[in-house]
Amino acid sequence: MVGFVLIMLVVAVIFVVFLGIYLRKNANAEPVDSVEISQFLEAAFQYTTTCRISGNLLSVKELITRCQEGKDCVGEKSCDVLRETFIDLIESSWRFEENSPTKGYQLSIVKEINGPDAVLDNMGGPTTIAKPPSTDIIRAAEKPLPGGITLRLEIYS
Amino acid sequence: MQIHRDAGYSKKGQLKIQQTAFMLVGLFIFFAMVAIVYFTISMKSLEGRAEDLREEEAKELARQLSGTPELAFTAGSGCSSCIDYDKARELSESLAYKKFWNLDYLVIERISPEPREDLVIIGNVEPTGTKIAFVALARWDRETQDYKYELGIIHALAKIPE
Repeated sequence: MVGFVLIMLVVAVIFVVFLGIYLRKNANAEPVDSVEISQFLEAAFQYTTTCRISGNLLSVKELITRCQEGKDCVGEKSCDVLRETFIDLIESSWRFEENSPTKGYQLSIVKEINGPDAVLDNMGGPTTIAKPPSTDIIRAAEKPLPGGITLRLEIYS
Repeated sequence: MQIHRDAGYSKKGQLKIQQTAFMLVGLFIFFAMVAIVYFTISMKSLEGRAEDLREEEAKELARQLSGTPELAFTAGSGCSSCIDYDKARELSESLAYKKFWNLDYLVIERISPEPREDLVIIGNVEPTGTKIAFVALARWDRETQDYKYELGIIHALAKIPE
């Protein structure tokens, strides 16, 4: 009888330990590469913004480069236009409400210099346009751009 | 005397049987819990893979549609994977193309800039199982006398073979 109880206790402890490891692994879940978000970014790069230079309107892709170089549009800051444009595009594409499946997002535009571990850009650090996430399920996509810039969008569910 | 001795042995035997029975029940419950946890984990990974497959299908459908001459944007050199919004508008007003593609439903929705607009090319009500994919839309802008690129979504459902 004592032996039986001991065995059951040992088995239960091992089970709880494995369960704990599994739950902790899920809590720090890696973002899942999302085809949908990747498609969104590809389409968004073509989008015509309101940034005017020499009579021409820039695309989002051109505007990111302009913002990174510290140059402005006619009558407004390029980084401000970029921020407003991305917020508009993201919030038109997904609903971020209490009852919707998507809860938040984070967009970061990062320039790497001196190797992958050094992150610095002319915008004074990673530029983030963010709403606070509330759960662990993350879908994300990254797009490299010319000049060592990487754009990453994470959507939280 | 014989009877009393038999009762004592019988009680010990019964206790042993009960102990074994409890142990078996406990083991069964434990393994049942392990099986439940295992299947829960397996189902989760299956759902993830199914979702990935759905997204890949939608992407492929969008790529195919944006490559057809009827919808492809060929006027400018800016975007090879764009859909020509002006062509799509013509198609939505034409009955001739309702059966052109092997699709039960095809709608091109412009989501930005406002106002949103739906171009219904095939079908009326969006059926279950419709795939969606983001696309860039190109249209001629009279004000700037140049092409403008906007953000849209393709909603499409392939014909189910009879």
